[in-house]
Amino acid sequence: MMRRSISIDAARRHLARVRARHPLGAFVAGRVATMVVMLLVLGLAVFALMALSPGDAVENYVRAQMFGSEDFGTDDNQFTEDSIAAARARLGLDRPFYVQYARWLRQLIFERDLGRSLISRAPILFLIRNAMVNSLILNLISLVFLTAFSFALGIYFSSKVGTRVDFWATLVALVLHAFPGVLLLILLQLFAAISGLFPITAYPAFPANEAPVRFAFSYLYHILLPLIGAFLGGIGGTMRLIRATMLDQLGQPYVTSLRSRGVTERRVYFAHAFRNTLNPYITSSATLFASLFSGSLILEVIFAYPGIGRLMFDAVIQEDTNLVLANLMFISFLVLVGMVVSDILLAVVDPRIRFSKDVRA
Amino acid sequence: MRRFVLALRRRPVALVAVLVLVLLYIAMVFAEFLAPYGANTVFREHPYHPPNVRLYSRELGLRLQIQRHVLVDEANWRYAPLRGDYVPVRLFAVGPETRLFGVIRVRRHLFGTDAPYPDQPGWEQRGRTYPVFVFGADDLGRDLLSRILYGSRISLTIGLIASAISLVLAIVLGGLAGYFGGTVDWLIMRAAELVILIPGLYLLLFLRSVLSRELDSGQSFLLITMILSFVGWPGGARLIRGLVHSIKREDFVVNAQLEGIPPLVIVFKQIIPQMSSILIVSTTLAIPGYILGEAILSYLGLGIIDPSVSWGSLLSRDVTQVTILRAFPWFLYPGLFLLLATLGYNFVGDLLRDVFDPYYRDKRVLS
Repeated sequence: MMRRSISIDAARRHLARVRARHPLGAFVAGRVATMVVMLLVLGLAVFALMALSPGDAVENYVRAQMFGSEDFGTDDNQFTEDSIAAARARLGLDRPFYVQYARWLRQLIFERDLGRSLISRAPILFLIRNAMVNSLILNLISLVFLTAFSFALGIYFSSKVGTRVDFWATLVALVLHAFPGVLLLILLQLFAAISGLFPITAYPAFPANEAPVRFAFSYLYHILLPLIGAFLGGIGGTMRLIRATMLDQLGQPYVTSLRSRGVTERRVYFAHAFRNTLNPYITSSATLFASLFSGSLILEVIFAYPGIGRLMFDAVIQEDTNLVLANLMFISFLVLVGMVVSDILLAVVDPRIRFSKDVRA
Repeated sequence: MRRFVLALRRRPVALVAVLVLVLLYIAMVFAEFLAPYGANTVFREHPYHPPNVRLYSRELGLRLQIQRHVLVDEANWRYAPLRGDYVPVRLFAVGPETRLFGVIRVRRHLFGTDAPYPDQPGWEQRGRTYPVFVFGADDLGRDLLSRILYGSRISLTIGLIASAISLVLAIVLGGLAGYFGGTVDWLIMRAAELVILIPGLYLLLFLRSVLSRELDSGQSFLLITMILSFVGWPGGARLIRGLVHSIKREDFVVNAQLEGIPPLVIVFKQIIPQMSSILIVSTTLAIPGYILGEAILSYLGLGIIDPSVSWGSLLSRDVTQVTILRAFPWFLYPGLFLLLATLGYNFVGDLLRDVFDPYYRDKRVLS
């Protein structure tokens, strides 16, 4: 008993030493560990919810077959209680949800195969990988533009505070922030259709490996309008945030002291105040990252972009339970990665977080 | 409240926003009277009818009137206005019988054409009806204005109810977490993080697909409200937890503890009221999010569906396809109302924040 407590103590002290020596590494490790645990718990919760819900994959499949086929009653579509039970057993649906979850995880990690979609019969991982690559490209482009422009505009308008320009800029930002995203995208699509300047879908109609260069250009042309939509939807909120933090910083005593020492306005803005606005922006970009994914669901549905959001929507509409489940897990995984990345960025930018005792901070 | 009124006077945009919101809610309450027809009154001969209200014509002069239209292209539902064929719009015209507030029976509506209606006996003998379509008619020939007015009942209340529920959840859970700390805090905050982890829309879709197959309109309204508030509570809970955490070290809390007042009473009667202004602000700013949540679910066909009606379902995916919108642009009117409501709440919330939130200084006066 005594020895064990000493060894635990020693381990703890060792850990503390490691943390002191590599504050950033320890921070990252801590975050990643929490992330893995949370993901596991989340999966368990999702499976439990699925178990609570009425109906399951087999039942849906049977129902779809029975209602979907016109020659109801032929041999192909005859389902006996026994065959349904057998199908359940084969898919493992007769087991408790935690067993199903363990099975699902095993399939994912060791076999890299989550079965096939109930509707399109395509492998689920294949579907998700393709859709996710598409979504990531779109969201990253959009995030880069959003960040660049909101910083530029936010800093510019913070230097114009109190003027008429600033008043109108904040008003426009608030309107954009409040504008319903669905409506904005519908209007943009309508604009594209009426003006004929842009395509009304967001993805080229021919495959990429046929003519890669032409595909790239066509792709950029197709996503331009959806990108504008995402940009307009997001710029209001982020620009306001950056403008507000900028003004907060400019009101701090250290700025007054810098100015009194004759430091140029340019240096005050870009070398001092600007650096401090990074912190809240990164904090909020964790949710920004998440909102870029969920925001692009509507975008993908409206502009028929083959991303993860559209995949999820189609799966929900078609009651493709396996696909919905896998989709949800992967999306949460992505968002969690985004949060951890932004936490790590925060620790890189802000030494207070890196060196604080509380790793969770 | 006084500060709020004073601030309103200084910011006309917010004053307009308040007025718009008040008007929208008044229209919602008196929907039966203001709407010329019921939400499901079908004019079988006039699907996709364009708006037909005119202010001036040579025949009738300057007054509210409708211009008769005739169907010229049956395949594409194209109408042409008939020149010189106007019908005056009467105030307090007789229309379909409804019950105001669900109790008082009314036959008269604010405006309409005194024509026979489908639900009146003998309407076919009395000749063709010619309905007034302020915002046009939908694909079945139902008056869009009436549908918008009836739809506001779901769209405008769902935000209030859902934000009230999630506020209660946030106060209870955030208050407990902040006051007791330790294990309670850890559990509640991890649960909140789990909910935050999944992007709201995906969680909505997932819950909606798991929880419901066939539901009637009342059930799906309840379900959507519950789902929205379930997705919404963690943000508020985190905010409240932080505030409770900082307030609980104040002297008056320590005094209360020494007097032996039970902890639950301290949290909910003494600490939470301290932050009421911040809660008002954050709740006001959260309401448009819930309104949009319902609209998005209904847009996707997973929320309110026919025959019940909300602004989101009026903008549903089948209706707002580009080809349809190009031919019948008046299908976008419900979007205008949605826009008014979200803008209104945002402007009012913005003003409230400037007035009430001590942590958010008015950046406009800073130079």
